Amino acid sequence: MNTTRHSHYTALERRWVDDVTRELAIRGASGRAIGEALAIVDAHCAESGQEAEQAFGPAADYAGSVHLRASDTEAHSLAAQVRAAWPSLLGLAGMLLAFRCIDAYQTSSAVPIRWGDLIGLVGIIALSVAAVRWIGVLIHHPVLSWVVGTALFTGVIGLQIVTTAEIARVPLPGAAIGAGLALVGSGIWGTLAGPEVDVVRDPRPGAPAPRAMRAFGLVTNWLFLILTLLAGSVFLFVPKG
Amino acid sequence: MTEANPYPSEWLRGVLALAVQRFLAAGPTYGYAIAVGLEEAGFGTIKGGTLYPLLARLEEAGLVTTEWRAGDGGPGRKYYALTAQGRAAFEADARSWTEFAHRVVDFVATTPSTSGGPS
Repeated sequence: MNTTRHSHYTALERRWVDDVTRELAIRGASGRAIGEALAIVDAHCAESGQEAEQAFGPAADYAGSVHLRASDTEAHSLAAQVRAAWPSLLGLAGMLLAFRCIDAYQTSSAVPIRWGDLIGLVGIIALSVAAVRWIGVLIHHPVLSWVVGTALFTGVIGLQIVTTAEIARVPLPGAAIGAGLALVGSGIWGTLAGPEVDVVRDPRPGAPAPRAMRAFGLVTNWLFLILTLLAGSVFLFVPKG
Repeated sequence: MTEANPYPSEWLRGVLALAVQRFLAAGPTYGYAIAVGLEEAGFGTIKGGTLYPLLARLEEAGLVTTEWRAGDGGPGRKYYALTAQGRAAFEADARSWTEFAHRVVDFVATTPSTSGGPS
């Protein structure tokens, strides 16, 4: 049988490692817990010469048997996910406000704050939290998830568009400062308090520390500011109408 | 039952935690050594998917502590050691199990009468 070894857990097949990683992630296991579960199997198989499937059974069965403590799944609790979503909510609000500011600048008017914008913000963040929370459903039922997800997303955006009633109109300078503060604040908040990108960590002595995802985490925390600058520069210099 | 597992799995389930603690009572050791030791002791082949979750439960219950140590040229090994609480629990469980086992042996070794149930 042709088997491909995993590059780090060298006693294990890559596919078995990938399957265990996915199944444990679905159960809400942290990267540390997944790394520990894989390191145990790798060490056992390296000594016994057995294949993981032979010694531990199918990947899904092993992943289901791994004993997860509360601390192993804390980062995936609803409270933790809602906490982690606050910086994104602030960043998204800042981006939306910045786009409204550009529009108001081009039409020389005050910046409208609409109820639809609030619905859009909360709806998109709620859908994002739900997608992370029910990642297992997304993976095991991709078509159904895509249909339901697209319908919900379209509904939220549709509500945002049709709900044009205004909460207030804010002078452009004040709105622009607010947008800037929200965007920068989101990046700082995400960097300081947001969860580090959770990658699989091998607990064994001498195992290389995962580093590649730090840059990804940094970019993610400042994503709304980066997107706003990119999109804003396009909108600003493209003549309206 | 198979050659690798000579006894029904439900028998093993009842005694496996005690057998693992008995193995750890001799000193800290790692998972594969426990699996081999149990097999040599006649418990049959213990799958990793059975042994390691059991060890994790013992750890969470405070009966066992763990430590990753560098391996000899290979990947590191996770060592398991009985805590003082674990040792006390093992000694108490071992006494209870021995008493229970004697009762079972005495009972099943007695030839039942052919007259049926209690009169």
